[in-house]
Amino acid sequence: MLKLLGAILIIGASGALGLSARQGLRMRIAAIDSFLKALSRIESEITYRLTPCDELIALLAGENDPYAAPVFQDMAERLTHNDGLSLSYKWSRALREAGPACGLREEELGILCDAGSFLGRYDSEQQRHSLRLTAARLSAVRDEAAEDLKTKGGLYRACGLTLGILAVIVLL
Amino acid sequence: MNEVKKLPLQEAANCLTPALRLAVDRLPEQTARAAEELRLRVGQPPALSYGGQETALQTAAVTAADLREIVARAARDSVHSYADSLRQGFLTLSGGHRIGICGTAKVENGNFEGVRQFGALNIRIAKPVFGCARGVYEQCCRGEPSSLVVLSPPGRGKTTLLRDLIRCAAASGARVGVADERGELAALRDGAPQFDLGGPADVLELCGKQDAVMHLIKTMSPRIVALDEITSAKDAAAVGYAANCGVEIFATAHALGLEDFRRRTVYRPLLSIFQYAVEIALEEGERICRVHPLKEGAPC
Repeated sequence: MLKLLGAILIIGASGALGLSARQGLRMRIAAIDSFLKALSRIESEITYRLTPCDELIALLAGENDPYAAPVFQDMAERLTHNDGLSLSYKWSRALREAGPACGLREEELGILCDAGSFLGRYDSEQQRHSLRLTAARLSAVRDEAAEDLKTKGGLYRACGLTLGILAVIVLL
Repeated sequence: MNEVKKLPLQEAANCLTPALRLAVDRLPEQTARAAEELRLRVGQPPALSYGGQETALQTAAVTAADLREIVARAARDSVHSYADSLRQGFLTLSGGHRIGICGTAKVENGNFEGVRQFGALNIRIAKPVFGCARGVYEQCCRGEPSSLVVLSPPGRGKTTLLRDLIRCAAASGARVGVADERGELAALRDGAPQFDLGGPADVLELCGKQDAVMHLIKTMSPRIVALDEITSAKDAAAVGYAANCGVEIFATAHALGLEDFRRRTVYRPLLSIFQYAVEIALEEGERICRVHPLKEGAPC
């Protein structure tokens, strides 16, 4: 009876590891989607309403988005400090510190950090072009991530379960 | 704890990059007080302008990235939100200081749309002089406001005098409409004037003088309309329109003096409108205001 319980626990744990790796891939895609949506909102606000960046970031921080909102909340908090640091610096710091927990990986973090170098520094037209370029680069990364999920997602799940079964066979 | 009041130069330097701000903070207090402008040109060290001369600061040369950063800071990291102002080639800072921008122009359909690539910035340090126009106001507006034009070459303080004339008129209870085409009189920032114009002054900023005068008269019913720098026939027409509507006009114009003002074709129709011309002369480094009655019967 104990052996059976142990075997179930081992298979369950290794299966969960595989599923969690798959979930990480899913979360990455969801996070990229959220930031693509945020970029689109930024573009519209800058183009049509000429919304100042601090107000814009506060708007995004207040949205009910589990992936992007925490990063913008961190950013909005940093912007309340009158410490002489530039928006570009605060934008990058917030992404680097709060981004990984939201599912963002190095590749997309780098692309999003680049956006901080032009945000609020040029006229709306120039920013719109740069935002579209950022969105295009991010979309390409999203496509790769979706491909990863398709090819590796199932593999991680299967590997997790297989490793669990193998471990049980070896231990028995 | 009492907050130490910053000098105007230090207040304006808030938009500078940390390295440039440090260079400004290190200036002797006397120099900082005298500063009228801070000039930043790509490839050259920053220069402080006072007493008609420029003095380079002992610091590294300014880069194009520095200028981009300064403009972004001045626009509170939202350059796009200040598009109208930038189209006119300047940005207003808190405290009424102003950044003039030069570089590669952006031209669309033959119209100047602002500066695309920054090459030079001129930070003009605002120093309001309260009470400088009191004597002039008392001389020209005894009980009732009269139309007057302030004349001088650039840099003699026409705008400062006009701003104080507005304050004097507002203090006497007259409602003043301010057509502030270049945002120099009130320097609105988020709707709030950065210069004290007294109580009853309504400002319309960044609008051509003709439209602004018409709008102010129709919407705010002022007793006096104030306009800075009448330079073109359109500006003169705006003054004519205001005079026909029965409001008094406080204006400024570039001229060496009254004779020069009379000689210029564009100003000729205005001679019958203004009751006084106020000349700002420079005598031994001191600015002196001379009031000339333009109409017969106007008290001297």
